[in-house]
Amino acid sequence: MLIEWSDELSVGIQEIDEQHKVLVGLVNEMHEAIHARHGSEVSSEILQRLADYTKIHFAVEESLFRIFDYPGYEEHKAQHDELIREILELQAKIAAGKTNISFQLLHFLKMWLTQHILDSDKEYSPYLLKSGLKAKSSQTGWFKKLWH
Amino acid sequence: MSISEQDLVAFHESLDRASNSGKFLDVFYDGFIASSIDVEMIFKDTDMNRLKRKLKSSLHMMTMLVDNEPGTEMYIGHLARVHDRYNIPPEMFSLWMDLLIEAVRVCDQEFDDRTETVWRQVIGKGIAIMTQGADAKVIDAV
Repeated sequence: MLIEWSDELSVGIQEIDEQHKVLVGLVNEMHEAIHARHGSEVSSEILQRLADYTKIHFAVEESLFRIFDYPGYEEHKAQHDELIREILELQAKIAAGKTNISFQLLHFLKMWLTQHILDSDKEYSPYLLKSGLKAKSSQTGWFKKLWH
Repeated sequence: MSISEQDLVAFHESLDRASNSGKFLDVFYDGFIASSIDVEMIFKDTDMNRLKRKLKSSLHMMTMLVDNEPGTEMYIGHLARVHDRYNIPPEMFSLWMDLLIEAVRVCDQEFDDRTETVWRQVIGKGIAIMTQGADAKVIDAV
């Protein structure tokens, strides 16, 4: 397993933690696929799911930022936009046969995900919770219902 | 240029001494923010505790880079492009390094020419990627 989920990665908002766990799971799935030499088609398919889920997750976070008027919105969104741009660029290169999914890329994704949670995501959660967002919900979110 | 094991140890020891002084982060940010009106404008209204956390994280990244931790070069390249979106001029990264080393000079009682050389080697590697901005290495297979 490349990334082990721990409380250190929790932002204290259940819905967001659940989404982060899915992202961690997808990076781990890609790691396993590369390790087991399942081939580039399998890795590319996992990367596609990771890209899709990342876009939805970012949209959810950005919606919360707008709803609660989070002051760090622009800076946080710039980080999201750059990652999405880079992943799309990478997928285009893979599709054109100019590159493939590498060990370095996998570790970049691991680093991006963990550092982004620790350095940036943990900054918004105190603000959102203070602004009235509930840390936990007794209901299963629409996001989880759709994805699983 | 690769960095020797001995130099890496010297870097970490110097960082420990500077950190243990209890004033390293304050000395750095006081100097950095006072260095130019541009820097002051960028950091106005920014929470200082947040900036200090960012600095710790940046130093951690720089040491991972010289330790050749996989994915770190790509990650710093990504950070360079994020900074480029904010039109941060490349000379600001050099200024950042110079004032960081100045803060080490103040806070590390054993600071000497060799310490400065080691710091410039370690931090300089990451700064070289940051100054490339939008041209920094894009995600790619290596």
